[in-house]
Amino acid sequence: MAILETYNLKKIYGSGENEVHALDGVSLKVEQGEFVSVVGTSGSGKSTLLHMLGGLDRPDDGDVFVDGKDIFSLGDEALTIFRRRKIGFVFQNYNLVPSLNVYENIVLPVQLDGREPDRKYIDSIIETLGLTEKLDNLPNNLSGGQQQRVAIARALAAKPAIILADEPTGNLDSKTSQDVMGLLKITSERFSQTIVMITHNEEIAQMADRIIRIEDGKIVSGK
Amino acid sequence: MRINNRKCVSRVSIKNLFTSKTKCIVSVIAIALTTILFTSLFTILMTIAKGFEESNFRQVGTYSHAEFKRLTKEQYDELRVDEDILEYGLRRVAGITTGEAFAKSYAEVSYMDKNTAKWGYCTPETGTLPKENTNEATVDTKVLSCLGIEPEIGKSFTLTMDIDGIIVTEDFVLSGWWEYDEAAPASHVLIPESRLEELFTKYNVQFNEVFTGKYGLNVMLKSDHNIEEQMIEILERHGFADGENSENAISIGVNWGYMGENLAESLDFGSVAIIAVILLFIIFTGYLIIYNIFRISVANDIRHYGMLKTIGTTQTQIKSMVQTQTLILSTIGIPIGLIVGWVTGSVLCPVVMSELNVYNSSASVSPWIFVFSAVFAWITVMISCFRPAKTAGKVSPVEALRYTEQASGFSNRSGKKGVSLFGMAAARLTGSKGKTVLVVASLALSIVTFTLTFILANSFDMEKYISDRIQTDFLVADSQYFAYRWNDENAISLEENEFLRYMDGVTDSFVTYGMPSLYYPETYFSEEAVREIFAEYGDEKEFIDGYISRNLEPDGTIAQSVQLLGLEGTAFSKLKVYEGDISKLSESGYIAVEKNDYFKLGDKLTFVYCDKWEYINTQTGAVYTAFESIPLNEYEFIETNEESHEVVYEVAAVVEVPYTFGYRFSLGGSMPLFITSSEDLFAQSEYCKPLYIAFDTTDEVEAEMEKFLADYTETNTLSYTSRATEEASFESFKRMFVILGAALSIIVGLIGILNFINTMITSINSRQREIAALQAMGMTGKQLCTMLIWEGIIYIGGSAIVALLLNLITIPLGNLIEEIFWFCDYSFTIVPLIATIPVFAVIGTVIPVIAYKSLTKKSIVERLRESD
Repeated sequence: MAILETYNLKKIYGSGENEVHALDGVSLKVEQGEFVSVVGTSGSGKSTLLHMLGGLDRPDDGDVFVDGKDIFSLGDEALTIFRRRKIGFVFQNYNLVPSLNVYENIVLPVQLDGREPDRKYIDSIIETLGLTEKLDNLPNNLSGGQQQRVAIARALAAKPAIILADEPTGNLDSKTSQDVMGLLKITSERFSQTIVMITHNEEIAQMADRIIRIEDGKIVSGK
Repeated sequence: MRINNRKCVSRVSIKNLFTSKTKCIVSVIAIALTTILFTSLFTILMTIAKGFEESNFRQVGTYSHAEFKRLTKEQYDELRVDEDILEYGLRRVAGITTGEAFAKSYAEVSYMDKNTAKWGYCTPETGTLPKENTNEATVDTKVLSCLGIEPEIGKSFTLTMDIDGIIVTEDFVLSGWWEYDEAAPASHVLIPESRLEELFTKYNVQFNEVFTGKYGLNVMLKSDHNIEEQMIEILERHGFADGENSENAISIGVNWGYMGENLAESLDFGSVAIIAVILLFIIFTGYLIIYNIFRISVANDIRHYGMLKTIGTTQTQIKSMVQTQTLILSTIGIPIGLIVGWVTGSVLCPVVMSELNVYNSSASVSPWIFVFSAVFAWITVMISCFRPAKTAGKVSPVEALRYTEQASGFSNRSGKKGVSLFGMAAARLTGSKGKTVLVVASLALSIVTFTLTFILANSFDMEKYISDRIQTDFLVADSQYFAYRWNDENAISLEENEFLRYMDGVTDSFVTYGMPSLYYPETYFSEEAVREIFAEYGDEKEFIDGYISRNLEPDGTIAQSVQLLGLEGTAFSKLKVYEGDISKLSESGYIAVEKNDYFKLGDKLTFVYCDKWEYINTQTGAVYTAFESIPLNEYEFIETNEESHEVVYEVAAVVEVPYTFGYRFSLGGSMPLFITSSEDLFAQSEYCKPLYIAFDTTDEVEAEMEKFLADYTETNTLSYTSRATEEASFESFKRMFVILGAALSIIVGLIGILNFINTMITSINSRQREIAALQAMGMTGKQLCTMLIWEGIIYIGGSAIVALLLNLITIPLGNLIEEIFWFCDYSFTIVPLIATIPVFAVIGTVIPVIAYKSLTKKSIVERLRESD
């Protein structure tokens, strides 16, 4: 069963001569538990695609179905609530809340939803990501790799249908990048977590189950 | 090596400055508000100083710098053209008014030119100065009322004058008049110079009096400092000497208003301390916001400074960039503050001036107001920017990239419970303690200013105030009594007393008697007591030693003049008796004394009453038995006690005498006041005179009596106070206090709110990406708004708690406050604090919502993309 499906996604920026087709009819399918990477050069439209998949930006045409739900049929507030239940984000620059400690950052999406975190599950994520010793730390006292691991834990915490990772290793050195990618891969397998990751780094992309290439707003391979 | 890079540095700082519009606007407003506080304060202070000076000038009778006195025409013509004299004016005295109309007070008849009249406050408000070759005269309203003529241009009147000892009566035509000022030393009749000459010729005046017809040259010099030296210099340049005795001597009169008791000298330690505290308060208030603005802005721009450092900008250059920015912001903010502050100050001035015993002049426009205010505002800005500039300069290029505001907090926070929206808000604020403390302090300061104003105003006890100021419903005396200048010449007459005493509705009345200072009785003090009293009065030790060695009696005591009051009837019951029995004073041989350190209950005191004075001319040795018989041209004489008698009293009671119950002036130091019965005073001295009459009325006639006295005292030299006038004066003082306090609270409040707004908005702006990420993760708009509102509420709530604590601190200080405001009955209340909460709560919720709205104008994606 496809946990994520898009049909003919289009996004056009500007008009007339300056018109840019950021997405030009993108259709793709991602199965439950799959780890997919989207590769493309800068300006290829991969980030726009990720924002569409996560419901952060609305397309000019086309639909996105997450877990069978047409997400753009939802209003803004409903979409936000849908997002916190079904989608986890991992950003290039981590975007942790600096005033909250590691544990608080991790459980934040669950608590925003008014739920109690599943302690056993959270503990297993923390253990998997090697954060047990760091729970009381504030983000600024962590290294980049550690911060990204917290961000991954946070994305996992709400048991989302899908994790969207936007250049998760973009700010990390190659050794740390490998570590983080290893962890993403492990979580994908251990928690049967669907992950869509965008990157411009071929080497990183190779670690995914499937690679989708995108150029000038169109998928050129890996659909 | 010296590299000229100033231009580059200032260009970069200017470019950087204008990238943040909000910061510019907020800083300019903050600097302007701080300047407003300084300027209003200095405007009020300088206006009070001006009022003091003006009062002095009014007492001197002119604001010209000085006068060359009694010149001949030739001397006058020679001196007036001196290069050091900026402006000059002429005055020539003909004589003084006399006759029945001027029995109580005389007026000087003289010629004044336009300048002298202007400087001497003799410019007619209606009509003109008298024109030459006419029989016109311009007078003040006191002359009009003495003559009993209606003010009407062209009205003829006759005047009896003493011109050089010759009594003459002449006709005049009224050409103008001005309002007589109670403070003025003399009343005036101005006549043209032609008429003056005509009178001298007509009556063949021999110029026996030193001043008759002489030329008085009033001058304005280049500066009002060292007036005496400048005058002597002018005299010497023309071959004259200062003085009276030699051939070439010209006497000069320096306007003591310029050097005498001006505000700066009359300031006591308490007033200076209060002003210093207010200045520090303003600096602190300004510091809280300006420092916060720059701290935040440097923190937000830290990557920019790091980048500058990377490309080779030095620490000094970055520091000077921050300073250039503050300089630019100050050049805009300070002038705005100066203008608005002066306007604010001049609006508040009348409120303050009406409470002070000084001439109520218009707001001062002294350049010093603006100089002082600008300097203090600049100092505040410099202090506030010192640390942010240092932080910016010291930034390491590497760390700058990692720098966020929390970077300083290495302390981790344990807790595995997760957080609520409130928790997130609280964590945010405790994470950036510095900022939070500054905003909370800033807001708390305004709440405290406001609440203290109202707690104090509310604590002002009218009964306490009035009971100390007046002991009866009404008190009538000569206006000089209320001006602290009572003497036997202006005692209220016995007829007046009888008239008032038997008016309808008067239930109880008493007259209090005093003695003219010349006839104060003497009594014997111990040497220690005299030393203590003199020292307290401010005399130097050498002077006291000399005085004591000259006056010590063989038994080790020293006779001192003391003030003595004669009371009658119910007056005794108005005194607070500490010990003894006041009723004994109805018998002879008993006296009461104000509570003091030198005399106690049961002491036997010898009083020496003077019965007759003699006046001896120290130059000629001539002896005069009456003051009136001393010729006008003799100045140097001493008084000696020719006849006296002694009375021995026993101190029957130690009492407290309210200030407004006695002479209203004291002999200085801790010299005690004595009380005897009016019968005894009459028996001992024929010179005792009524100080005032005090009386109560029935409630029904009280308002009517008030109105009657108001009209009645308009027609004579009497004046009065009453329960109603004291109530009004209490209310007026309270109003001044409330208005000043409210004005201060409003400005400090604006600063606090601005600080809050700036912090809130900049903090939300600097978290754009963080907030976008939260939204991406599924924080709804409502949750986000709630979190931001919680931040606002914590600021406000924190401020309210701090303000409450600060207010609570004042409770133990209640006694001190009651000492400063003696009519204050300190009662703490949190009502004003509660009253401020809705206002601040609205601000605390509205600002975050506005910030949220402006934030969400940009889409989440846009904000996520922003790399700071």
